[in-house]
Amino acid sequence: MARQPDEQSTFADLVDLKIQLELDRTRDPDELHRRDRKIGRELSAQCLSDRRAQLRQWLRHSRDPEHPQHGARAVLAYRVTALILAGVGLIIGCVCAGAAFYYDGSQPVNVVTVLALFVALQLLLLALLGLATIPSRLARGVPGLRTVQQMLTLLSPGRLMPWIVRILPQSYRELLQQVLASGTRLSSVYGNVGKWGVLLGSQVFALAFNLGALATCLYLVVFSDLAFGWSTTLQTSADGFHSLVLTIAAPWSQWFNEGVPSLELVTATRYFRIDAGEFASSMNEHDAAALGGWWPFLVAAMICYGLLPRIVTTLLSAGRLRASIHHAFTHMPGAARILDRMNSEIIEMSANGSEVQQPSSQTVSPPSATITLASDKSWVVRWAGIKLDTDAINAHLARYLQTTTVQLLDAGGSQSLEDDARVIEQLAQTPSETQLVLLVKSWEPPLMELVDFLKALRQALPKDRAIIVLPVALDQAAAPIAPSPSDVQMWGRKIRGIGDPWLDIGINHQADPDV
Amino acid sequence: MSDPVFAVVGHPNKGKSSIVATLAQDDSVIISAEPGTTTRCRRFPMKVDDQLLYTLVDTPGFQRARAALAWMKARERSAADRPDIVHSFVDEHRNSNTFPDECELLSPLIQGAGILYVVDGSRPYGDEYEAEMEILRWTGQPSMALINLVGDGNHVEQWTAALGQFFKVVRVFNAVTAEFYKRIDLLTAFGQLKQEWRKPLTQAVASLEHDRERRRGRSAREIAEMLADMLASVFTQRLSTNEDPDPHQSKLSQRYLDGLRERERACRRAVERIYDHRRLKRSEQEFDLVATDLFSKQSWLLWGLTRRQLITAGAIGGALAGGGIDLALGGASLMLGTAIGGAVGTASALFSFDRMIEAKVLGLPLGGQEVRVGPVSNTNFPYVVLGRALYHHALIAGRSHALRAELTVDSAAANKSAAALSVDLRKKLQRIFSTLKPEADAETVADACDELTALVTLLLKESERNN
Repeated sequence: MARQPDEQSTFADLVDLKIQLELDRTRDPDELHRRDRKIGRELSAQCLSDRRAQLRQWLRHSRDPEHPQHGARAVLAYRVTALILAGVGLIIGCVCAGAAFYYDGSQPVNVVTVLALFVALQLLLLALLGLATIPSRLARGVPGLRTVQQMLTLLSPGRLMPWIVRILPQSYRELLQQVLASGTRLSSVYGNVGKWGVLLGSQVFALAFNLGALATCLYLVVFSDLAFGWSTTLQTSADGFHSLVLTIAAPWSQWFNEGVPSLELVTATRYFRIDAGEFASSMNEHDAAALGGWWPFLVAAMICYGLLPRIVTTLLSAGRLRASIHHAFTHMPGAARILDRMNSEIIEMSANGSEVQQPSSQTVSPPSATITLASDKSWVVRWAGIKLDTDAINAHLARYLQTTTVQLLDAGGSQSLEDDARVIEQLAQTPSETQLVLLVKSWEPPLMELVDFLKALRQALPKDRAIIVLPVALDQAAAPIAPSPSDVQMWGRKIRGIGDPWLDIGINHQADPDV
Repeated sequence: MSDPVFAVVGHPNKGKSSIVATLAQDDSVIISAEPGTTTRCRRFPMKVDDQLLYTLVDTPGFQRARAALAWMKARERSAADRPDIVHSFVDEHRNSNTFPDECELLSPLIQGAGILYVVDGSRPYGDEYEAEMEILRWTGQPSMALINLVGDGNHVEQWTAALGQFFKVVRVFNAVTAEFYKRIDLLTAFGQLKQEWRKPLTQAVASLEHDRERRRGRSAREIAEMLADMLASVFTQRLSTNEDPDPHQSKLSQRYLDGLRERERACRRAVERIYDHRRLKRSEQEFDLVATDLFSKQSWLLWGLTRRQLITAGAIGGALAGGGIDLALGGASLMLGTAIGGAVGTASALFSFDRMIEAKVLGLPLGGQEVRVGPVSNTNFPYVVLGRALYHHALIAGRSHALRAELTVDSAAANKSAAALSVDLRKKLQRIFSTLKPEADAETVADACDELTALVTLLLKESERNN
């Protein structure tokens, strides 16, 4: 039965984290922040400084309920694959040991072959493993070492894992292949997990190989009568071979004397091919019994140089794999963002919903007829306290309307509404040929109280009496200048929007080169 | 105790919405040159983890202030009645068309909102403002006047004198240019308006400052990841043995360069999003690289072994074979076997390589050529990219959400920010950049990215301060 997500390993969490991050990719960032902050606020105090614990907590809450078992499946797939690899190693170990310890009575088991296979080769492979696992930052300093490392990874039995995994159902296979295929690419989300996963597979294989070999050796020793001897084409004396044996036996010579062959045994068990397997020295029954005396040495050598180092490398690889998983888990692209979202307050300052742009309330329509000047004499109303004297106003009027002021009135601004009403009364009594000009500040927006004033004025005047609104701008010395085009346009839209055909703005900004 | 509410009120078109957009860091607020764009109150609640700390209210501008004040004055019996009269004014006219804007803007005030009265200090003061300021005074609510600067003129002194008669606190605040700490300063001042508002505003300021640090950290990570991606970026394409790689050079280099530029643009968008600039238009001259610095070619074999790897394999094989002989001779050969074996293996791999890539198995070629573009070997490249990113970040972090103009990133100024890095910092950066290579393993890259993020965070803080 698959374990509950809360209890599962970091390896499984790693796979689930990657899947969850992929699912999150299409979600709205604000929605993600809201969800993750909620999880973050529920974190226990001891969790706050532990990235891994926080991420696991996050996973527990945000895991896709429809696919809760992805990580557990990947772990199961890895275990099954490693188990198959171990089985293969075990069988090969048994076969190799069976071949090396093969004895049919015609020739003794050659100690040299056993040592070559289970000591020399093992040491060589361990040395290559050491080379392959030198950290890349150190390897970079040695020319060619990186290339050698890449070469060696191709030879690793763990490389069989992606092949073995093909026998598993697709849903399991794809998950594990993703993890194992993560090489050293920058974009890799699994970091060095793939590398150490494959290396651990190799160590499991090698450990199983040595276990198989040892078990086969012990089986043959116990259940058959093996005769050991040593023979080599090379010109090696018994003394020389004995010293090699003593060197090999050095690790256990102090406490396991049976595992250290004597010179007599070495001398007595040498044989030559030419003698058809006959030993060089003549033997009595006691000597014949001593022929089996090599086995404690060989078993000790297989344990010391084969099994024990592989136990150590398996444990080390498992440790490195665990560390890689933890590192990848907390450093997966996107993990930092999750932690950030969990630990960052959600600050909202925007309005709820988007603002609806008000359509322009005024339907801009040009005056029905071109307003022509009735007179070169104007009654001028200064709206909202424009501080201009008659001369300055006349200069401005002359520029745009070719008219001069005959009467100056004030309305709006600090004037009261009663004052405005009086101004309207005065204007209503002006002769019809007199021009009516309302001088306004171009930089101020046209307000509804101006519109009210204009409407009230229209009520008091004949419908076809022209009213001109003339915006004016002031320079730093408070002298009138041409208003900006944008201000003229703003005023034009507002005044024409009132819909009075005899009311218009007094500046045609397209005709005025200064505007 | 009710949460503080601040109504941003004033004449139409004086930058009320700009102030709100800046303070709420919301670039979706419509800021229009057309007066009267805002016709309804719009509330901008400031919440931290769903806890409401204060609310800003954007309001329409006064349209008939004199008439409204006249109505109120007609009903005044004593100064103490004034807030109630304002209340009555709103109640009486709420459903009529006479004072829609005044009712809308006064509604939050009669419910207890603080007043943020906004004027445009770039235009001269006028008498027509007095009626609306008087109405605001009648509400009896805590108030502050903000002199916004919409245009180029400067009439701040004149405004300060006039506003001082109606408001206890008068501040100049340019909504478009106000950088983060000026905004924070203003929020702090809001808290001074009323004793019970101090605590939520202090909390809001602390959260915003913390949030600022977070945003800086997120931006630093985006920039660090962009640098890591760019430094490790390699583009390869396989060609047949007989194909001339030179014609591919310009096309592949261009594709590679386009990839780097797109990565930079993606980082820009991410940083802009981090600071809530979602509608920003940006113009920036893209960086350039000399294409010939990027291009290289190498032969390849079907099994992924390069010439170098094959030679190494040959050397190891030869050395192992020779080493076996040395071992057999008990060292009497003085390791000559290993040396000779290694040399023979190297030589055979060297001479057989070209023949092997020509060979075919079942009609399929065993090998061919691989053209490779990148990584960028120019040591100055990451500094140029970093300098541009720092400069862009400073512009974005300091940019008001009321500003609607296109963002122009000046390349010359961006290059200056890279050149200003201290020697010590360059050394640290160089050490990190040297680890970010295409062949670097993922753990090294992840750790380097973390380290780079921490350094870039410091740089962002510094460059923000300088800008």
